[in-house]
Amino acid sequence: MSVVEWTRHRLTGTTDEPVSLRGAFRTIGVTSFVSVMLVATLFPLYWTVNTSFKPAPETQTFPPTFTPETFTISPYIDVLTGAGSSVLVNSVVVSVGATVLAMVIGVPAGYAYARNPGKVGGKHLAFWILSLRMFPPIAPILPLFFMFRQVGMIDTYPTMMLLYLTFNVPLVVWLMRSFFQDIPQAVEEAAIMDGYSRLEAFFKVSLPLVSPGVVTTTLLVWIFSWNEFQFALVFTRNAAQTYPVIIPALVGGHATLWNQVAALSVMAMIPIIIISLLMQKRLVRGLTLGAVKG
Amino acid sequence: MTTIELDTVRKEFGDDIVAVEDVSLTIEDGELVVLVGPSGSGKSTTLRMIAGLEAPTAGDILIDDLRVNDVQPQNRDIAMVFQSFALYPHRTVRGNISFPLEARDVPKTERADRVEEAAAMLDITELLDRKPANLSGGQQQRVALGRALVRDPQAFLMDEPLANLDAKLRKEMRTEVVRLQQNLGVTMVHVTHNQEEAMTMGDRVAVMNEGQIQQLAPPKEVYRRPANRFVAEFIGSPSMNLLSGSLADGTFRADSVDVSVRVPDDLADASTADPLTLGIRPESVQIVDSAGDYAFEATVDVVELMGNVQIVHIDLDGAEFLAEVDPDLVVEQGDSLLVRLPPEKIDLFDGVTAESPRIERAAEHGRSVDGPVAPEK
Repeated sequence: MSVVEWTRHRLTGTTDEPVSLRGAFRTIGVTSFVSVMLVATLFPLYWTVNTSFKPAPETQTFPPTFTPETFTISPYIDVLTGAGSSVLVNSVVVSVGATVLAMVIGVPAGYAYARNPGKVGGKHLAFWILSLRMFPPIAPILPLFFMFRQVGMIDTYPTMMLLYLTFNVPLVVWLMRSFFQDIPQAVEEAAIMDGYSRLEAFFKVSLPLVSPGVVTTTLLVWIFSWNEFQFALVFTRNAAQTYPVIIPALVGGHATLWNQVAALSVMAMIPIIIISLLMQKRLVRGLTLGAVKG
Repeated sequence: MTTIELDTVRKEFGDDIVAVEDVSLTIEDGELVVLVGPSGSGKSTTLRMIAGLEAPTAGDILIDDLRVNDVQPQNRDIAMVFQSFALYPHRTVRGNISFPLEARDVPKTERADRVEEAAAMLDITELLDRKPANLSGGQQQRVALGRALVRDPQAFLMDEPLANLDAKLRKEMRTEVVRLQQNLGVTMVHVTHNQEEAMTMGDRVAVMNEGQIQQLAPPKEVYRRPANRFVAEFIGSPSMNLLSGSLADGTFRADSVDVSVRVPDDLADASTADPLTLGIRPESVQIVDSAGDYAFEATVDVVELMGNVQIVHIDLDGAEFLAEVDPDLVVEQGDSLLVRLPPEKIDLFDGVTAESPRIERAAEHGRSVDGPVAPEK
């Protein structure tokens, strides 16, 4: 029984056991701990939303106001009529493009590694791919910058999508590899014996079976691409600038526009929250896929 | 309609593993051939080469006299049932059975009819809308069979399909598979490591060991006249009794124990090797009342009552020797018995090559010519 289940069990009293004193203390302890953790994690979120609906002067008042005294949506309008709308569009284009590219390249690669262990690229290629994910992103930034500048590819969508492949492809390859490993080869062979080509067997049997894994991986890759800051800061100027770069620009200058920072942050969070909620069931299935044998 | 022929087929994995060594085998139309052998004997690899899932390193595979080495498995029109059943977990039973029909672009209405027909044949109509995860092992097995037979393939390949079932279900399905095969009159190759399954199911049995066919013959022949010591020991439960010794003046004398048997003339004439191994099935061993006629005295070690028979373990100077006797015979541990080995029931094997001297006789009955047969002149 999980802590949550246990607590619910205790609180709703759906048990014939007498509630012991020790049990009661435990309930209080668990509830208090969970409450403190909830406040600690949700308060920044709440404060961001709160700030995003305040006029600029109210963000500086002391003591701070826990709800906007003057409720306004002007920070949103200001952000969207300023640089905000284009950076959000850029973020969508770059992150979606980078995600699709990474999945198109990484899923078949992961499949190849799962089905031909030790054969594809010899013993070391798979680990080399993973090692790309491990080194600090700041390390290759300068050489990459000079390379891209040489071919005139600074501040373009394809540049950002290609750069994000560096970190996304290893993640996709390794996650998908383990998802495909959990699909018995016999199931694919059965499809081949049933009259399908290897490729058809892949699309009709293997891929549907790893779909929770595909959803999870897509989401992880997309969130990385959506939030990435360092590459975006160095490789974009204007045309391909993504939202994480613009936020620091709102801080400093004449004044720090905390309400606009908050409004942009809220807008950046919304897609992630919506998609995660919609995909919650599949996401959890994907994350635990293979953890427990059916 | 469908014959399957393997012509000196060889399969190597890597540089030093020979999984299948020059196997030649012809499976006639409508015949059920069982490939049986211990794990690693090459039986599954042989089956997978017929399926096309493995490519032979050398040799030819012919289906209906057509060389299929380069034909993709999906184009060989052969159905296969896997040990793990390999059902598609994301499809219903109906979806599983109709999957091979979809590959052949069978029209939707005909597809539905044929699925219903196959389901009725296997008594799984009420399961059609369930997912495989909600089926028992036996039901999954039936679905796997349904998926194989719905498309009316040229031949069936069965890769240990009964191994994952419990004992009772295994016997039921065994009968059912044979019944289906006979009703459909289809060519079938069945792989198993279970010698009982091989004996009961096959029109012919190919006993495999170390990548080679040791003997290919009808079950009765494999049992009665094993081509070599391996077959003698592998087929039959409990195993055949073996005694090493030598032949002199038409009498076999065991080496380490005081056992001798008068060998029938034809067998004695054929057995020129020295040393020799005598083999006799436990059910052929007789317990007699009077001495003489080569009967010998032995002590009972253990008695196991199986219901219809009892198995008496006899201590022959450390070597174990089994006799299957009438359950009503009163024997206890420590008893002294008079044991007789009826000459007409014994087999002799070359003590070195382990071959039976009845080679010519075996060859007449379809014994693989590429097996380790070396007639000694």
